[in-house]
Amino acid sequence: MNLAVRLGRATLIAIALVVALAPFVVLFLNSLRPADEFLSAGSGLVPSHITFEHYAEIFDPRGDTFRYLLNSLIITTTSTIIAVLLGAMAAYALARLKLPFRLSIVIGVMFLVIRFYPKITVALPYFLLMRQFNLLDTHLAVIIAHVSLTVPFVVWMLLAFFEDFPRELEQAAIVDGCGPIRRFMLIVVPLMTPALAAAAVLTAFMSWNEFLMASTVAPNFAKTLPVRISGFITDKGILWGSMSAMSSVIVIPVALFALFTQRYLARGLTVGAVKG
Amino acid sequence: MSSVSLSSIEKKYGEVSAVRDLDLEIRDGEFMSLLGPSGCGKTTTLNMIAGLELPTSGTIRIGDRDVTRLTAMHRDIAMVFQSYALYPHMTVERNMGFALMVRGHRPDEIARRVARASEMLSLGDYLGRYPRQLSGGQRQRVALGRALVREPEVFLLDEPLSNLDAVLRVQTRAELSGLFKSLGTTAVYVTHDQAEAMTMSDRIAVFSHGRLQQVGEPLEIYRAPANRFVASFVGSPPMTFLDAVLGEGGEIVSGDLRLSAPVALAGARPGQPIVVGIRPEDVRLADEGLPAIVDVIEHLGSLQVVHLTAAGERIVAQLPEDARLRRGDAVRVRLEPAQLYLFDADAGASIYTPGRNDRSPSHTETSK
Repeated sequence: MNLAVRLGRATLIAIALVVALAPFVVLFLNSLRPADEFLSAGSGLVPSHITFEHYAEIFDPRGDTFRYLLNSLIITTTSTIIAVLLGAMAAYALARLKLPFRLSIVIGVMFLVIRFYPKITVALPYFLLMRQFNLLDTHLAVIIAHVSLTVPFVVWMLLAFFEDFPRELEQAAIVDGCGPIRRFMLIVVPLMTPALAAAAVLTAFMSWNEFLMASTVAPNFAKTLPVRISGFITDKGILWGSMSAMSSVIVIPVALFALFTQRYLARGLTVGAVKG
Repeated sequence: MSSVSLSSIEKKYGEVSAVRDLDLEIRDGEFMSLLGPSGCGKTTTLNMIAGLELPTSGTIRIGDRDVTRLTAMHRDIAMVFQSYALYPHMTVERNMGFALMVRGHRPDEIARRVARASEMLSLGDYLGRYPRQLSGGQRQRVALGRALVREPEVFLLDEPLSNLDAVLRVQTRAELSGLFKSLGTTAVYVTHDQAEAMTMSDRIAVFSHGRLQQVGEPLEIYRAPANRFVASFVGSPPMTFLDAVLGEGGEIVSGDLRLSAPVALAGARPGQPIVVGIRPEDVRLADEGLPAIVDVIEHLGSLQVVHLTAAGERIVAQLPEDARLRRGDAVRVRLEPAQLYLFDADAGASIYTPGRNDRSPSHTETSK
């Protein structure tokens, strides 16, 4: 490869990186910017001096940030566990059952379609439904919403994996005396840890970041961090500093997690696409 | 130990019949090979015996139990898969003991049986390893060991040697043969390799296009094939076939080639089209006989395979290496009339074979 080609590639990668990362740089810089600088003309991209006042403010023990953080953790963890468990079993059944009339393909496509509809269309009906069930402003309301949003994704992702799972291994397990449950738990699950982990990580991200449904059904007690951020837009103006600080706090665990699991993620996502 | 009996088995996938009209009796303690080209229904038959697939119609019995509708886990069978299907996340020891664990055997019983099987297969040093840390031959032995610890009524083996290299395959073939002789357990062995079937089996069942063609002992299959397919599939180098007609006075006429017929063929009328089969080892060089030209010589070391042209027909001969031949040589060959195979030209059923002169098949079944 000659120098020009390499330079060209490096430039393209650099541009892509800047486009992807610039918002986070601005966000992080803003979280360190003094409050009075946000609206004054002539302040540059870099703050005149660095302050941690916004972080101190959002982590004020008298404030509610920790409660929202706990809400987010509870909702993300529970949604992820339920979605992956349910999705994995559904995908396995879909891959293995011989349904008539190509029903499994129809169901598979439906799962795919569900991923793409505009979520706002169900936000109001879902609100009414939750009011009916007296579940408004509970963790459960948000969890149900997040599970229903992520299960189709999990099914769709794991379906490809199951379809590639060697049949003979399962046949061997059948001959060895395993029924469907033991076959799934003792043979299939241990061998699909990478795919399950990838599905879990992506589900967790979706739930952690989700705003629309959470803000619709959980405005107060069960409020999650993303919903809290929108609360910095007040009738007295936008609290840019606090908003930036809390946004940074939300992004950091996700970024760290992605960094540590990227190997798994890449492997899990390409399962089925490429055979090793 | 048990016999396996298949009666009127039919297996359809949609409109396609994978196995048709199958009646097969595998005796207690017998090593039976199911032999045939790919897609002939032999693996489907094995899977039906295993219970991994259910027949569309018909009955399967193992011993005196009707197992037709039983799933694989409730049949007392153990299976060795072509890909071995070892559990990648378990050590050799756990792979071998898994079935016993699932079936609720006591740990000391499992340990005892695994130890015995691993000793029989010289796997003792590898019990702690994972399948990915083993060579192909070792994996094959683990797959075998997993079946052995079960001490089942019937062993089912699906081309267990096909993933080994040639040298190891021949060596393992002999070991397997000895092992099953000493166990004395009924075994059903699927293979497309006629050498494996010939060397290991008590009896062979030859399949083609979903139909059983013939069941018989190896030499019976070889010397008294029921039809042209069996004759062509078994034997290496393969049999030469010549289109011919019956001439006047017990002659077989193929183009310019005239051979004397082995017997006065009862009921045969002159002019009837037939197919003549010639085993390569039955072709001999002689001072008197058919003039032939040497086309191609393949040296095998102890033997040579010689492709000849005689009276416009190609004939393959297997000759000892001491016959010094060169391409283009003119030779004379002798075909013993009694060693010829004669087949019906249309149906392919055999009319005469060296191994069976009467035409009433005893326990062989011909295709319909």
